[in-house]
Amino acid sequence: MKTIFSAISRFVDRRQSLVFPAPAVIVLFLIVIIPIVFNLYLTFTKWTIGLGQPRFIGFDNFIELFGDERVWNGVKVMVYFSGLSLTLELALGLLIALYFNRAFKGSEIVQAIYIIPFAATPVAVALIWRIMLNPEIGVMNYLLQSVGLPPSLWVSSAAMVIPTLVMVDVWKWTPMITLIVLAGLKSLPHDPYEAARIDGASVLQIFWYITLPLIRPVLIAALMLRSLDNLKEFDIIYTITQGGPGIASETLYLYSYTVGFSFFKAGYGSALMVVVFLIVLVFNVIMNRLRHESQVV
Amino acid sequence: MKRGMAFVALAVLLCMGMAAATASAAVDWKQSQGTEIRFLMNKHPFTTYIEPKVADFEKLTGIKVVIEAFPEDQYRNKRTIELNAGGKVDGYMIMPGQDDLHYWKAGWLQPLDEYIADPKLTDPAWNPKDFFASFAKASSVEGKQIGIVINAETSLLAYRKDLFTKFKQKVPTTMKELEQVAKFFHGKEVDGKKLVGITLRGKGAAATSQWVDFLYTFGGSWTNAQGQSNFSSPENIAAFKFYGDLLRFYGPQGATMLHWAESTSMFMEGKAAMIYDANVFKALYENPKESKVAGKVGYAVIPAGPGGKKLPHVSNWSLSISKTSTPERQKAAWLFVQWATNKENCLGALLAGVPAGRASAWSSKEYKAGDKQPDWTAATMKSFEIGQGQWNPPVINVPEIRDITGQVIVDAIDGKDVVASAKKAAELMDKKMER
Amino acid sequence: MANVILKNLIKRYGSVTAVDNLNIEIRDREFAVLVGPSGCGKTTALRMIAGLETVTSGDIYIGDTLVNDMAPKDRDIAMVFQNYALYPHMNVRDNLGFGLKMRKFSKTEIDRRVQEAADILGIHDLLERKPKELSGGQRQRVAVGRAIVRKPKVFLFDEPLSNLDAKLRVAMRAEISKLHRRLGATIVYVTHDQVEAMTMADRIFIMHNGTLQQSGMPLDVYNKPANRFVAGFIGSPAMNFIETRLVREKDTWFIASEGFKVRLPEAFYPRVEPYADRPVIFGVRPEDMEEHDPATGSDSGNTLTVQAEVVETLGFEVFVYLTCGPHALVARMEVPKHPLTVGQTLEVDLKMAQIHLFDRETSQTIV
Repeated sequence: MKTIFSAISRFVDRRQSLVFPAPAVIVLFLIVIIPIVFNLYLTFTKWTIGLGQPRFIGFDNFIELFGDERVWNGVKVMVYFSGLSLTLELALGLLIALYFNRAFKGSEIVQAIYIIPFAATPVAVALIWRIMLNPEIGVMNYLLQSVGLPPSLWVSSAAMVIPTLVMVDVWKWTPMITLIVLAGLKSLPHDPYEAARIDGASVLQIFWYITLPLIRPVLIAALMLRSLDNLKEFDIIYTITQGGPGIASETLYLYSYTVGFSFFKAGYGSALMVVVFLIVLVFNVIMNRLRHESQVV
Repeated sequence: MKRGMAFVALAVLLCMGMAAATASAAVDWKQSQGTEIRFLMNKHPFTTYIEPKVADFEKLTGIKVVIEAFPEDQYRNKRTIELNAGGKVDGYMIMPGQDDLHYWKAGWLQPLDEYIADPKLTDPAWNPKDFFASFAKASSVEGKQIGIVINAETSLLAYRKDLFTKFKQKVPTTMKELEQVAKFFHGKEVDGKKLVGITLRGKGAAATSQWVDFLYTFGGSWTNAQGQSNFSSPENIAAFKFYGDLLRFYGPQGATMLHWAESTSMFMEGKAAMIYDANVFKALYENPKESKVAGKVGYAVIPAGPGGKKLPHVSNWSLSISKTSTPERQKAAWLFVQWATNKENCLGALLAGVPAGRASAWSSKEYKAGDKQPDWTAATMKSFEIGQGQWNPPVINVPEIRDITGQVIVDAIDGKDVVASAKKAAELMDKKMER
Repeated sequence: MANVILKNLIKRYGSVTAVDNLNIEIRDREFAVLVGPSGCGKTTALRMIAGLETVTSGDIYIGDTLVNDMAPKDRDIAMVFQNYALYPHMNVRDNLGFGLKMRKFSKTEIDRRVQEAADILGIHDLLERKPKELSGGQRQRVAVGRAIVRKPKVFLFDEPLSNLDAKLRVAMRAEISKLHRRLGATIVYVTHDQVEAMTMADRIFIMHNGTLQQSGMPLDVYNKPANRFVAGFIGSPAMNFIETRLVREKDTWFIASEGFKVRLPEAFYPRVEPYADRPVIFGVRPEDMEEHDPATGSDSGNTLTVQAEVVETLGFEVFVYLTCGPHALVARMEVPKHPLTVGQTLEVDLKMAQIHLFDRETSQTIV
């Protein structure tokens, strides 16, 4: 018994670089690498879950994808939703961070309240919004009417559904951007601001020429972090609209989910997932390059 | 009161004793003693009813039953994925109208006919003839019984009795009358609320479940004699248009986002004069804690179409046995299915609010004594009798075809060109149908 | 060009008074150095001149203009910060030109002035670099350059050399002095380093606890410190202080303490009269002590017998840390002929004409 232990311990000692990372590598392999490889394999097959085995069909899934109206609709919805929500979240997040950056009385309490949406569970939040947005019995129209505005159809109208979902997404996620940007602002050097005041820059000029360039890497990092979730936003859209009305809020990611888990078409669904993945990847590679270029300190 | 309770308890005990006594004469309930079986269940009221009683079955048979229950959406995914992975599943709940073809083709459904015919395995008191024919048919594929109904549903027209009386309106018996009544009530102010004429599901694929009753009633069908999509036929177009126009002109705003939850809320809030949806939502309408219209609702079968036809669908949850299981465990699973669907349990479930598939449960004294909505029961019985078990497209990839259909319904509600939309959907459907 | 006047200037932060009734007049083209230990209020005063801090009360004039409520950009000043405060995302050229750009100078004028400043500071090769690619000394030049392109009336320097190493500091000191002569501008320069103050200033202003202690030409302040604080602050190593009493024996005054007794020169007699038999603080600079030359007589009354504790040899001179009875002293002397050893007893002479006496209560200079 003793000799076995000492043999093991000798092996561990000699092969530390193999032994210690091994558990992590094995887990990574099982839960990340294998599914990804399997997913890539599936993209070249036709397979309805439960009906026979995956059948190799080459690039047919990708060819079908180009002729699929719902793919193009999905891309359009994705660009509209993500473009609008990321822009607003970044702009509002920055503005509010600038506001919080100047200490004022009770700012801690205001900040604590402000981050509640960010801390809340997305599905729970989305369910509440779904009820609030109901055009007939929801509180949102009640509020609109109580201030004399006409009621809106909110997510029940194809024209309003994306702006409304963007509103919920902005409400939920802007605090995250604010927190990141605020941390960035707090770490900015103090002196250049005084130098700029003496150099004759106005408040707006200081923001434009000093704050914005200095905070740019942080803004891009926040954008990247947020875009990872936002480009494949699921919880909010699925809970509130399931892509409706019709397919007016069906992003490419939602469509790929529907194909995979509602139609059980694993091959085509995987191909769609890969397209979503490529879009996210390309976006982030570009952003990362921009971030590196804007890094100054 | 106490004496009454004691009497009921005694009666139940006697019945069970008798059932056990008669059963033991023909069937050896202990024949699978020691076997362990696993059932996947939807968190459905039937599951809630049967779970506490499973111990009785285990005592009776010596079979160990493991029940795993999940919320419906999750349950469907889990069931498909587990069966696909060849997991140890001996039985499960299924909606045949939704999944039977897929599961049948996948080889996951064990035909039950042999068990039913075998006197060593099936108690004559179980009596298959006691189940409604429409449901027995609904739970079969290619002439084979693949499940036993545990929850029988149909759709009914529910209307505001109080308002119909007040405004002297007749309950519609034809689609034409339905439209007229909806038009009459639409926009009327009652108790400070503006009414809509009728509320229906409008949300794409989800709407097909009720729309299909209009389809059949208008004389339409999913596919034509050649097995191709029938969406471009005049009957189908008429059904799409009628359903869409009802919602567009006399329905709630934003109707394309109405699932059953939103639609029933409208009705329960007292904002709609009529609703056409699943009959089981009676439990919601008549719950005074949740509903403002409790006690004010009347029920009727679907109005007749232009040809005088009334053809609602019936749908059901059934208990099925997995073909992937072993013969030994399948035998034990059949004993469980048989026990769970015997007369006592069907009646017990019905009294607990789960609509049974057995005629004897509905006609029992116990049920009739407590029935507060006899018009609902009458309409339900009528609908069960005339109902059609095929309520989904006759394909394997049901969700995908429902999705395609739903887009036409959405377009019809939005007032778009229904003919063009239906034509496009028909082409897509022909391309995508898998059988 | 302009003078800078601070009149009854006060700055309070809550209950803390950072600058307490400061009155200073800096003349046109003068190199004025505000010097004092950290927390003395010099930087606060400078920042009030710049407009980066508000004034609690009192007035600040630049030229003839009252600037109390004027924004920094309107005061026609430029400032060089301790940490350079360069814009990290701009190259040197843009750093230099930023102030001009904000003031809407034409592009050609900006280029011309940036070239000019680069010529003066010899930073031509650095124009396209970012601040992080520069050494400390180069950053300092850019910071100065950013000030001079603007050609302001007044330059403000806030401890500009304290982040540089000792050697570079000496070189930059000379350069800034040269720059001052070349530009002929008014400079207000803040430092805690009295050597910088002494070497660069036309006039120095010594501050302590928010108040002005003394102002004047560097040598005047060195030779005639107004109080014990100034005496101790100016000069390196610092002046030696000993608690003593003034004792009159017959007609002669002595300064005496335990193990310490020296005769007061007659020239000081009139001024010490009121302090007879009272404790006073005696002060002597290290450089005003020398090794006793046995050749001269030992009765001049200025010779102390001391023990050497530590000897620091700097090459051409030595610092000798001495004890004289219970008192510790530092002497700065020529390298002695015979090497000193630790613990050795020796005799030192004090240059009595250069000694100082301070009132023990008020710290004011008596002689």
